[in-house]
Amino acid sequence: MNTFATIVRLSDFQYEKVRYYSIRFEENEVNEFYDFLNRMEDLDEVTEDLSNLLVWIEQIGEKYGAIKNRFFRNESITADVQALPPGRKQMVAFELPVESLRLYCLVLNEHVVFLFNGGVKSTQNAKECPNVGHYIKQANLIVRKIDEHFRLGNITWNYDQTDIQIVKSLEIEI
Amino acid sequence: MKKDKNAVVERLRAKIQPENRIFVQKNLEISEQIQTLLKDKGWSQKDLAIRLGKSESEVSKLLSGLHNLTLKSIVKLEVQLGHDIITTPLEATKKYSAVEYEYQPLDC
Repeated sequence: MNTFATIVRLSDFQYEKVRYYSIRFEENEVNEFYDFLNRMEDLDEVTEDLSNLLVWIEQIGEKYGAIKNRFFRNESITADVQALPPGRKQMVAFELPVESLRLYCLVLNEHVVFLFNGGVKSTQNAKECPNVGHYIKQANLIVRKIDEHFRLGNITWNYDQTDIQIVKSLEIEI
Repeated sequence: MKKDKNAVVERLRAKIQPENRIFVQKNLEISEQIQTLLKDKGWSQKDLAIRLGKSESEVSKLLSGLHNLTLKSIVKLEVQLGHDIITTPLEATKKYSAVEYEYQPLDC
């Protein structure tokens, strides 16, 4: 069954160099990134990793910018992303690994990043992991939908491509 | 009592220790230093991976700013890059105080 989601600008994560976003499914109380944080908050074994991740998100936002092939990895999680017509640059989901913790995201450029969901990876192949496999699929699906809305003009860049503009009341069917 | 899910960032930020902040800051500084050396040499991360006998994915993880780099890994990187990546303040003082500067008067 399809569900609807809205794009959420994360007001707690707005920095000079990077604006962070997430998406919220209509039936959920919080956006996907906050859902990830709430679930991980209860796991003592990842307390330190979670703290490091939050500092990292802040540092990337304030000082470095979201440099794709330097700070984000996409090798293992994009195989099932639907191919796009030749000549068109493909949007792909990225993975943020902090020891066994995994967070999935979309890096649109150095200034705009979507943070989705994730968990504690428990198997060698993340796609087969009962904790994160679902979130990889979900991230890939959301990325595809965001890509579609870019093509439809419902999401556009601002004049200097440091932020995005979203059509009012945009609902994404996922 | 039911927790406020929207206040999670506030709760987690209150748990951040000074060592978390320093760990990530230094890690990113090391990554920045390595990137600068790669650029100077005209090497890609793939070139570095080949020289280290690692996969590109492993090197990417090392340079992410989130990996717990060991001194051994840093030394291996220094050997391949032929340059220091980290220098203690004491060593830096010794190194730079030994440099002799020449006074060049302005042409009038």
